[in-house]
Amino acid sequence: MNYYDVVVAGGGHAGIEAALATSRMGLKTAMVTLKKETIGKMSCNPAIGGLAKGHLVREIDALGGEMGKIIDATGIHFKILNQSKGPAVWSPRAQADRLAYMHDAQHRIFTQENLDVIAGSVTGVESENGAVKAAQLSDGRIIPCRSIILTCGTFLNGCIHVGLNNMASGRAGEEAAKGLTENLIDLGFKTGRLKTGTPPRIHIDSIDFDLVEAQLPDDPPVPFSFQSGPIERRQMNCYITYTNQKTHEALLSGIDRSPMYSGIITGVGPRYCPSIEDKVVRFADKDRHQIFLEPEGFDNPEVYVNGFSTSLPADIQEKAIRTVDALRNAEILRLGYAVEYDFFPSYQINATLETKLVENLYFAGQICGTSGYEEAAAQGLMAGINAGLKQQGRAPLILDRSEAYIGVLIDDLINKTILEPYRMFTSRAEFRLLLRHDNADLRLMKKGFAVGLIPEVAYQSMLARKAETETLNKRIAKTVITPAQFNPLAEEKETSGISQNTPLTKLVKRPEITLRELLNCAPDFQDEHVDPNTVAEVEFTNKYAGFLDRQQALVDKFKEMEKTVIPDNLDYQNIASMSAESREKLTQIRPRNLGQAARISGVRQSDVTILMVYIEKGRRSGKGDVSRETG
Amino acid sequence: MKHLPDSHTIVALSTPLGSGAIAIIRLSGPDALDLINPLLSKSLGEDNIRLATFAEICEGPGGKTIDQVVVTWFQGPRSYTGEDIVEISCHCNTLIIDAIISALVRQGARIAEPGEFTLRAFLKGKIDLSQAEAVADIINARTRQSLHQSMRHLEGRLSERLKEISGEVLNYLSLLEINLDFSEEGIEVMPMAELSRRITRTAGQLQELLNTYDYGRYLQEGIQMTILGKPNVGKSSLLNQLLQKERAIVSEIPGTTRDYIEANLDIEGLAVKAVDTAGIRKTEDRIEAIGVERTLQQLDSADIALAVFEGNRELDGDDRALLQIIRDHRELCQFVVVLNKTDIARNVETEKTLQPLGIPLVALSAKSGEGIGALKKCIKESLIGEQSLESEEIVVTSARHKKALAQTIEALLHADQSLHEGASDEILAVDIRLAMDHLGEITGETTSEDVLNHIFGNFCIGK
Repeated sequence: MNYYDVVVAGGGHAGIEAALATSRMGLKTAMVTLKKETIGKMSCNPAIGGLAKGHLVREIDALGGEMGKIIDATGIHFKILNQSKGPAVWSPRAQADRLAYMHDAQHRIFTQENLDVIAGSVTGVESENGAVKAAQLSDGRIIPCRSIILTCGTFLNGCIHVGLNNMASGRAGEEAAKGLTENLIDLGFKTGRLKTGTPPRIHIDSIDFDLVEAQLPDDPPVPFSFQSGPIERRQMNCYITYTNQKTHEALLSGIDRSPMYSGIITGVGPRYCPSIEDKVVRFADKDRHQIFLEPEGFDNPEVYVNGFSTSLPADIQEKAIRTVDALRNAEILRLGYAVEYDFFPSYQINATLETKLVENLYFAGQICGTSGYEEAAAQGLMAGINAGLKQQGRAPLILDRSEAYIGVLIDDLINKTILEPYRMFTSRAEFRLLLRHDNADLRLMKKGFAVGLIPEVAYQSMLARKAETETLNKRIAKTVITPAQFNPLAEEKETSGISQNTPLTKLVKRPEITLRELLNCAPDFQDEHVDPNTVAEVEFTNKYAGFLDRQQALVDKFKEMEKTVIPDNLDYQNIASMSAESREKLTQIRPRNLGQAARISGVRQSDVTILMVYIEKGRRSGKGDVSRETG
Repeated sequence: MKHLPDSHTIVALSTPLGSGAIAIIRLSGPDALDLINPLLSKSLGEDNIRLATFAEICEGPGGKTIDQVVVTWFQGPRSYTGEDIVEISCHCNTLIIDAIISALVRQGARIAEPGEFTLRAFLKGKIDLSQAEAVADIINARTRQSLHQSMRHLEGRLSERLKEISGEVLNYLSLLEINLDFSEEGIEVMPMAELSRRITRTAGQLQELLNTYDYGRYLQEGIQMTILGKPNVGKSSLLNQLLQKERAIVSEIPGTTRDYIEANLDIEGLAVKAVDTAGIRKTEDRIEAIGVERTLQQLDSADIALAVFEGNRELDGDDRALLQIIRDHRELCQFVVVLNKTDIARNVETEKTLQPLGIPLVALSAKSGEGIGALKKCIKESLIGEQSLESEEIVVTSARHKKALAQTIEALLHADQSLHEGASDEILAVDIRLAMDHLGEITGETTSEDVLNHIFGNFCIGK
């Protein structure tokens, strides 16, 4: 077969980003997928974004990824979550018209230059001298290539469970991918098994809408992509209802036929996304659980019963769902199920997502043990970018924890022991206040532009916004307002007035007053139109200045630790003073620098100091390539 | 978060505690000179590099004097660590040592980690390469030793208690994180007023622990008590009464105790090392003169001093000399005035002179033992207040723990203040997280994974 620079195995959210990134970077790319018609399918819930995940989507967009643009084109219910909290933890989410999302994604793939789509299943990685040489397909075809990115989702030896019935399948109605796991084990990789689940879908006309609470979308919708214009698409409501005691009794009546409780499923499932039967058993004292009904499109009768994930038998699913008042007539269109699949514990990859064992082989998405479209897409994009940069002979793109949620995601993957499917949470980001969804462009677009995935016009518009922000910041720092200008507003807002001229930066710290209101009091700004996003940015940095400075101080400390590079050839087994557990962990993970070494779970504080002594020893004796990175 | 040794200026006591008359405190780092000079009566500079310089050291710029010390500046790189080092030789008294280290920490120094001076010496190339292994061993050994120490009964209980408290703080953080990361799932968490009440309560509990520090330190290091008074006032008899056996030589000839005599006592459960000194009086006798000098030296390292007067007589010149000593030293040492021989008679004038000092006063008879019980109570209360001495008491004994607790309390109270100002959950979480990290310096690190584990273990999450 023809030679390709890059072969991407899989057409899910990770595969799409990986393939678009490499082909746009000018590399001849082949996407190998079981079925062309299911590229971009949303196999679980119909939403993109959500808490912390929304941050990921905006970061993907700022780096030049596609997810934000697809959802902007096909979303039917946009909402910024957590708006009652501070701006740092606001997070966008949107329900998609599921079919439209898939078709839009396919259109982008099929029309992309440098990108071919090949129907098939990758079953082997052929390597030579420890580096990728070709991809082997199940039908015997061989695709010679330089890099392979594996984004296989839940397909590797996938097994679907409904009650005590199970079948080999990667996703409802689709065959599993066999052989690749075994091939990777032969190459020396370690594998594990995870589990996830999905709820039933019901017919929209079988819901009693008088008995549910409606959740309205934001008006106007705020787009995900920094490059999207206003969203004109018609919007739909989502709905909330609850289970009750009868539901719980119905579920428990089928627990003896649960594949989880009968021990058939051995894979580890995510605790943040338990099945409804799990919730009922573990939290027996709760008299109800929330159900979130998500429509899947205007022309699609399916409604996703979020919160009701289950692998109980069909009769129990139907009996239980119909105990909910609003769903008493529910017609199940597709059953809920659990799926088990193989993954490759992520200590086996580097920060570029390239595997440690085979050069130019990359893993992205659920194969690394993550869960979620957004987590997958972020890894797909980073794997694609890094495969591309490597082939172009350029330095890799590695984001650190203080720059992006994507940095947190990948850093956690390579340093932490992943015991359950990994999902992003804002609490995982220690520099959370600095990583807002709406400043993702200011944080990352420069890097996306340098890679070549951000068009000039988008980049210039970000630079203009940045300049405008800086100008406004400087101007308000110099502005004072008089009691006569401020006190009427103070009275209106029921806050104390001022008796002498006061700097604006001081007044903006009051929680009850917005920067825009203050600007309206200041003669210099009164009649001036300033972009609301710019005002929001400046308001945030001034209102939370004290907290931001503290986070910045922690970031500086963190960066200092990242500066001491650990030589590649360091043999931890020679460090007798170090604890055996630390030696083992460090040998397994091989951190790039001392900061990373300190983050590895199981490595002791004192052992980090001992490691520092050894690096210094190596540096002084001239052995080992130890250096201090600059900046 | 685990951290690396930084280039921050560090301070620590570098001689063993509790033995010897002189203690050496070492200050090392780029700011050593800038940190200490504002505290000294005579600034160190280019003129006295590597020269022992006599000076007074005070609590803060322009503050009260702590002690008379000898300071020596070793300019980097010609020093043990290769950095600027100031060595402070002070009197070996735990109160003085603590006061000096605290003053330097307030100036911006950080308390050194185990083995950190040696580590710096190595990193600066002051220790030979062949010694790298030894340096690593020292870090390792000291860590093990402190691990071992924390297993000890007292600290073990402290650590247990702090783990409980740490669990509470983890719970607060989890509640905030649920509001942030799972706000869509309709989980009912604690109302803010209740959270505030609990945070304040936890800060109060930590404060109580912090208050045990002096007591804890006494338990750890023992208490130095010195007995002062003119010759033949009954000091040795008093010591014998406290000891309840003949230890000091008791005689009718003034000045029999020429040097000093030590005895280990148990006073109301406190371990006290008592020193019976030579009598204080102006003297021409050479041997006795040496004794008096040593007496004053003993006072420098004492935690508490018993000043003994004859309650049956008027004060004479020697008594007035002692009164002056009390006035000069009362800032650095606890005093108890003992009126001995009150079984014989009570002199009203003497009591009238001594009462206004504002120092606890006990009348007793060292000969009969009457009033000794009251003296013991008075000693205990002067040292540790009303603190109960049950064996179950949890105490804080290390300066590092004290600092960590103080920082935890500060962070909790800051969070509570922000809460009242209406700050949002992610802002409150910054301070609660900080409190968690400070507590973690004693109980071990809490990771974001631990927070999530707590949430998943205790709340019904997931849709």
